[in-house]
Amino acid sequence: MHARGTNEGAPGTDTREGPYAAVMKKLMVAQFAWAASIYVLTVVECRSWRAAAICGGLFVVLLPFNAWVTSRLLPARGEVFGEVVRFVGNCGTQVLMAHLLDWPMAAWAWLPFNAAAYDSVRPRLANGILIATMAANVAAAAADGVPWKIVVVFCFVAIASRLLVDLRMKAAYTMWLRSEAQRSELDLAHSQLQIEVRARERAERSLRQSQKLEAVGRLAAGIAHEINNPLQFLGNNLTFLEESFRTIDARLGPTTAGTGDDALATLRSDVHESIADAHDGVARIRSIVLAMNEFARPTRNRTEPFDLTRAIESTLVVTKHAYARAAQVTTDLATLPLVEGDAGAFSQVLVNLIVNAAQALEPKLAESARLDGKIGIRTWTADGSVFVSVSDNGPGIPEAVREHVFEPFFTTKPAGQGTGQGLAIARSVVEEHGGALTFESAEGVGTTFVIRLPLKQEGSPR
Amino acid sequence: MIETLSVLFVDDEPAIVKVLGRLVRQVRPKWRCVVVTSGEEALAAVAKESFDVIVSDIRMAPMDGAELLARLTSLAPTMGRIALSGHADRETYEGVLRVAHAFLSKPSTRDEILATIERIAAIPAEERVVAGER
Repeated sequence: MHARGTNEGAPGTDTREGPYAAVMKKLMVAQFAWAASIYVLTVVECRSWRAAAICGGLFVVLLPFNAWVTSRLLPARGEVFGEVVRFVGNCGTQVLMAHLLDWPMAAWAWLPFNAAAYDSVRPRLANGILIATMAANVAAAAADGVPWKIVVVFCFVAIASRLLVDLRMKAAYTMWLRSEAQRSELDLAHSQLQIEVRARERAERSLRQSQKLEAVGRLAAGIAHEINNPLQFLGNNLTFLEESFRTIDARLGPTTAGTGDDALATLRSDVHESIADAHDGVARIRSIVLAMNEFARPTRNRTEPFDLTRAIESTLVVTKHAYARAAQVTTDLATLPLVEGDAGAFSQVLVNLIVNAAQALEPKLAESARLDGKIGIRTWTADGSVFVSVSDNGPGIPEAVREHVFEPFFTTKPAGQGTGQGLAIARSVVEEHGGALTFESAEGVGTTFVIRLPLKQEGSPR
Repeated sequence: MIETLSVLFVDDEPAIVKVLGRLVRQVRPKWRCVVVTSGEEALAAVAKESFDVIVSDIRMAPMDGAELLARLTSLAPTMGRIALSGHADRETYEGVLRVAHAFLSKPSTRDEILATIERIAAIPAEERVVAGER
């Protein structure tokens, strides 16, 4: 009778489900058809009720036995145990049938079927069972005096079908492996494509962003220039008025209380305050316009090798007034090669980062009298780039604000203390040098800004 | 502080030259101060009388400040030339410094303007000629 092969380890299939289950079902049907044909042939050949009863009786036992092995024993006890039990049952029955019937063909006809029905995924098990079945049959044939020609022919057919099936299976397996390799190649290409698409989308987004910034920059420059003219005569006129009122004040002489001129006295002091406030407004507009101009500055001309370490050291000197009150500065500066670029613009970047760090520490200063604000400046080289980090142990940048940090005119500082241009300018300068300005921040821990500058310039900065 | 000086202010924005004139009259009453609102008027004024220093806007039409100052380098080579411009970018700055002795960006305060005028006026005339030919 047929032996259900083993397919454990067959890639991509599942023993109990899917296409393999369908094959098993078809094998079962083939087995029934095979048994029915053998039964009919036996009855026709032997023309005896005894032969019909023996053949029919054994099949009635064997077919459910095989179905039980397939559906219950194999899943419960494993392939090897299940197949060995099946071999003992089937082979014993065959030997018994060959012995009881006068027509040995009824038993021998199962041999080629079994040889073909085994699958080749575990060839050693399949071959072993086939050889054992053949040996048992040959032994029984010898004992029963079956003609040797029958033994030779059926053994030959069994071995041939076994080899044929094996070859087919190997060919199919090779094809499957090949298609699997193609599929994984395809998968790889697909995921690479997705990565490229994402990178391109990112690049497009950043291009759109920088175009937007450029447009904003041009607009800012235009506005700045238009504002400068009225600002010029506004400020000068305020100075004139201030001076004039001072002269008028001096001419009027000191105010005396109780002379009924209280209203005039108030007016005189209010005028000075009002002019001072207006001056303050002009100064603020002036600083905004200067910052706008700085941001919109289209070209940076001076490209030359400069010493970044020296730039950092001199920046620390000029920004001392900004951080001395709020923080202690520590430096960890590596020996760096010269960097190509605009040293002046770069110093401005460092000034912005250091002043920002110092301003981040101001609230800390207000909380406790002791000086525990820290600014750390570190430089190092890696992967053909120079890195500069500026860290502070301030309150950190709130999550909601982070994505706006580099936007021009974005500021969290109180009105009049910042124009929101510092970091936008810093990033644009660093990017013009082919580098990148990034930051990491944790609330309550601090913020670190990192400048990366490639050592070998890809084209000179614009 | 220089006691007596003649200054010509040129700007196509009348409010600017008016207030500059007022400021000079207020704090340097002994200075002679003329204000005009175009390059052509400036050339006419220079043809009539001489000035120690001219303070000129740059972006004007039809004759811009750079051209006016360039002409003055040959017409009145000893006159101190100061540019007062709303364009503070490097190109304008470097272009203008070929024909001007000093560059002031708008907005500049009264004290900045007066200090610059006095600084340029204090340079000996022959040095101003050389400086103007850079």
